[in-house]
Parts: sequence; C-alpha cells; structure tokens
Amino acid sequence: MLPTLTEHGFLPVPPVVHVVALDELPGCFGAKPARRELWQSFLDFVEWLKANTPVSEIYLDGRFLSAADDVSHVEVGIELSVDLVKKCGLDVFKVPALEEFSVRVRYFAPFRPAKHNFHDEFQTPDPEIRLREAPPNLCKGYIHIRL
Amino acid sequence: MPRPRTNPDKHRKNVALTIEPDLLMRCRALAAQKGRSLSQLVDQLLREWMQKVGASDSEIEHAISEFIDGHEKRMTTKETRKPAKAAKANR
Repeated sequence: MLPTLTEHGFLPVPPVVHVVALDELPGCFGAKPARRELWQSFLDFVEWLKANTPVSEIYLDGRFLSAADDVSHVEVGIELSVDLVKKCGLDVFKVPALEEFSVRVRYFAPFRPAKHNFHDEFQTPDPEIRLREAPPNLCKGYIHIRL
Repeated sequence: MPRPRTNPDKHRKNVALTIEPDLLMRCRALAAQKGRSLSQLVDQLLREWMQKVGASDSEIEHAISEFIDGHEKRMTTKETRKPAKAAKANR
C-alpha cells in the first residue's frame, strides 16, 4: 500500500523505492479523465511488455506520481541487463512507447551506473517544482513494480 | 607493377594447433575431398561456432550502451522539438 503524498506532492522517503504490486497501485493518482487515460495507456504498455519481452520488473516515476496538474506521460524505468538482452535482443525495445502508450521509457544498464541512471533522476523532483518553495535537496520516492 | 597494399589487420594469422594425429589425417583428407584447406575448414567451423554461441557479454554490453545513448539522444531531440511545435501551433 502506498503512503500518501508529502506536502510537496511527492512520494515520501524513506524508502526511496516503494515496492508495490501492480494491482495494489491506486490507479490513476487522481480522478481526472486525462490521468485515467494515461493510467490505461500505462497498463496497455505493461501488457505489451509482458507479451513481447522477458522484462519482469519496472520502475514508475514522473509527474504522474506527483500532485502536478499538467501530466502528459508516465515515466517508466527499465534495467537492461546482459542476461535480459540475451533472451530477447535489443530491437524489441525500439518500440515508440511515447507515441503508442504515452510512456516515456528510461533505460539503464547496471554495468554503467554513472550514465543515464534513472534511479538518480527518479529521486530528484523537476527543477520547476523546486521553485515552489521545496527544499533544494528534496529527495522523492518512486515505485518498483514486479510484473 | 607493385601489388596493391592490403590491410595488414585483415591478413590471416598463423596459429599453432595441436590435434590428434588420427583426427588430423581424417580432417585433411575430408577437407581435400571438399576442395578446401584445413585452415579454411577451421575458419568455417569457428565462424559457425561463434554464430551458435552468440555475442560475448562485453559485445552485448557495448550494444546496450550504444542503444541507451541513442535512445536518450532521440528522446532529448523529441523533447526539445516539442516547445517549438507548440509555439508554432499557438501562432
């Protein structure tokens, strides 16, 4: 079960990574039709992942997980390990997820932790949110889902 | 006329192999039957084996690295284009 959002509208820390089952997620994080549509698109993306890849865990983040009003997509982090790529290759991940599922996918390779590490990015709020009197070193939580 | 220079990196290398005499004799005979040298035979077998076993872990890591860099570049380009599109639409 996810805790309620903090006063700044983010998932609280600790823990930084909230481990949640997909069916335990509170759905659309808001009742607005646009958020409901995004949630459905995200679920479609999860189904696509299950059907086409051996990906067994994903990370969920982005403005969708905050109290922000203007949300255009869901951010999903996927770790690309050598073992995973041996099973399905890389071409399958060329799916235009943003266009087809409104999902912005961030890939991360555990063997090169310093580059494009979504785990670091997912803990950091958007710069513009810091302007809303949030402390500059604010750390936020994100979600880990086992598919 | 001098022979055109070839890429030294692509020259075939000499390697010492140790093979059981009996197997070596049969392989040489079979290779000769097929009109191939023992080197060509070993070359072909090694290529087939490499294809079967697949890329090494470091090759896959390199491919993943290139894929992620390319993906991030494409996404950043898309995101920087978006405001321009929106501005155009607002005109």
